[in-house]
Amino acid sequence: MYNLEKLIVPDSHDDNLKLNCSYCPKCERKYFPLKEICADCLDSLTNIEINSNGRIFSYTTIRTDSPFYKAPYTLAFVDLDEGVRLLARVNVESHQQLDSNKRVKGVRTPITTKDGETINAFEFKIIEEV
Amino acid sequence: MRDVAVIGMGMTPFGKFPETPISKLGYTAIIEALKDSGIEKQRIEAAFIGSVYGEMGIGQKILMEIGLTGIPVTNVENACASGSSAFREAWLQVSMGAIDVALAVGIEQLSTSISGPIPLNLEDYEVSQGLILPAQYALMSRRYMDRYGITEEQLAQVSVKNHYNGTLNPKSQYRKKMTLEEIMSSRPIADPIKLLECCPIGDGAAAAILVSKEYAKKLGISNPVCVKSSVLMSGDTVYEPEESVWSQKLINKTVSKAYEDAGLGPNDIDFAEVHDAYPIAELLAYEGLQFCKPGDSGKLLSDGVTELTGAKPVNTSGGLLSKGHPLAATGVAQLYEIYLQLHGRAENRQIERNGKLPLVGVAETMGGGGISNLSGNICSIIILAR
Repeated sequence: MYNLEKLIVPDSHDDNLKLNCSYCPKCERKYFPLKEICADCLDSLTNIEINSNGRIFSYTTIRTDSPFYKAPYTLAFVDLDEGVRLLARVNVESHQQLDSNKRVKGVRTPITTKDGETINAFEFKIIEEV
Repeated sequence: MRDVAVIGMGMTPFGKFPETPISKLGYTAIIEALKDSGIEKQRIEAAFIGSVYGEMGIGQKILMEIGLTGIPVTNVENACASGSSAFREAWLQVSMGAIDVALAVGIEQLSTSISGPIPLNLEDYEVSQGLILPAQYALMSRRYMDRYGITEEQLAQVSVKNHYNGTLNPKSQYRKKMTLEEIMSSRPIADPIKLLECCPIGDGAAAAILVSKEYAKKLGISNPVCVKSSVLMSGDTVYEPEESVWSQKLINKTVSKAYEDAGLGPNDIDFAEVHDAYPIAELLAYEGLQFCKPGDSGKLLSDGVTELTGAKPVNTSGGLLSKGHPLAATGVAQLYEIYLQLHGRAENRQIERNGKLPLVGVAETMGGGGISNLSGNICSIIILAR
C-alpha cells in the first residue's frame, strides 16, 4: 500500500492543511503524488508544500468492498488551486449535496482498512460557499 | 509497407470454462482459423500470442499441442489490448515483408483466478486511496453527466442495446435480453455504475491468420478482408487539471492517426466494435470515432443510430458487456466480429444496407486503468475492409 501519511506536511494545521508535492524548478512542473525525476527534463525533483484548497472535478461513491476498504466511501478527483489534480476521499455530511465543481479543502483523517488497521490519511471536506 | 489480408479467423465461445485447460481454449480458436483460411499449419512463419494473466510461455504451451514448434513465438502483454497488440505485431511483420504468413491470438482464462473487479497494483497511489476499475469509469461517467446532461438511463441504454445484440450471437457469454429496469435496479457498484453495466469475468480465445495480399492472391483468394490501418498509442500523463476524462484524448488521437493512415474518415466507416467495458466507454468511442460531436453521444444512442438496424451499428457482437471480456481475447474477438460481418457470415445479426454487405469496420480497444496519473495505458484502433 502507498504510504498516504507521507503526503501530509507534518506540522500543517487542519485550518490550512498542506500536502507534499514534487516540483521541477527548471520546468516549473508539479507532480503529485511524489516522484523522483521530472518527466520532461529528467532532473531530480525537489519537495514543495502546496495548499489543499480546490474544486471537485468528478466523484463516485463506491458500493462494493475494494482491496483495502469496506464500502461505502466516496472518492473524487480534486483540482487543487495550486494546479494539481489528485484522487482522494471526500467526506460528505448528510445535509450536503456533492456536485462537480464544489469547493473543497483537505483535512487529516484516520481511515480504517478492512484488516482493522488505522492509517493516518487525508480527505476533502466541502467548503460552504457564501 | 505491403497490403495485408486476414484470410482466416476463429473464436471460442466466451464464458466461464474453469474445467477447460487454457491450451485447449487457444488451439480451438487456432484450428478454427486454420480451417477457415484453408492453409496448412506448416505455412505459419511466426506467432504472436496476447495474454494478460497467462503463465510464462503461454504461446508455446498452446502451439506445442498442435505441433507448431520451431518458429518465432512472441508473447504479448498490453492490458486489455494485448490481443490487439499481438495482431498488430503480426500485421507489421507481414506488412514489412519479413514474413508472408503470421498467426495472431488473444487468450485469457479469468474464471480460475479472479472474481469481482480485475486486480490492480496495490502499491499504486490511487488504488491505495480505494480506486477500483469500475470507479475509474464511474468518475468519467459522472463528469460527463454533469458536463453534457447525459443521464443514467442513457448510460444504461448502452447495456440494453449490447445485451440485445448478444442474444443474437451464439458465442456471447450472456445471451439474455436485459431491460432498462433490470439494469437500473441491479446492484450499485460505483455510482452511477451498476452491476449489469460491468463487463463480466470470463474465458475465451480468438485467432487470426494474416498473409500478404499477394500471398492471398496466390492462394486464389479474391477480395479478401484487408487491414487498412492498425495504430497503437499509449496514454498521456495527467498531473494538472484538464477537462477531458480518462482515456478520452487517447482515443481521439489514436482514431485520428488510424483514419489518416487508412486514408478514410468517419463517413467511410460502416460499423464498429468498441471497448464497452462500462457504458461510458462506448459513448466516448462514438465521439472519438467522430460519429458525433463531443457531448452528443447520448443522443446518438437514443436516436438508435448505433443499434443493429441503425446507420452506424456499434457492438453487433454484444460488446464486452454481453459477449464478455476475457481481457487479451477481446481485441481479436472484436476483429472476428468485423470479419464475419464483412463476409456476410454474422447470421441473425448481419448488417445489410439495401441488400448490400458492409465494407469497412473499425475496432477500438482500450487497455488499462489503475496507474495513477496515466490517462489510459494503451489504445488500439484497427480498420478492416473488403
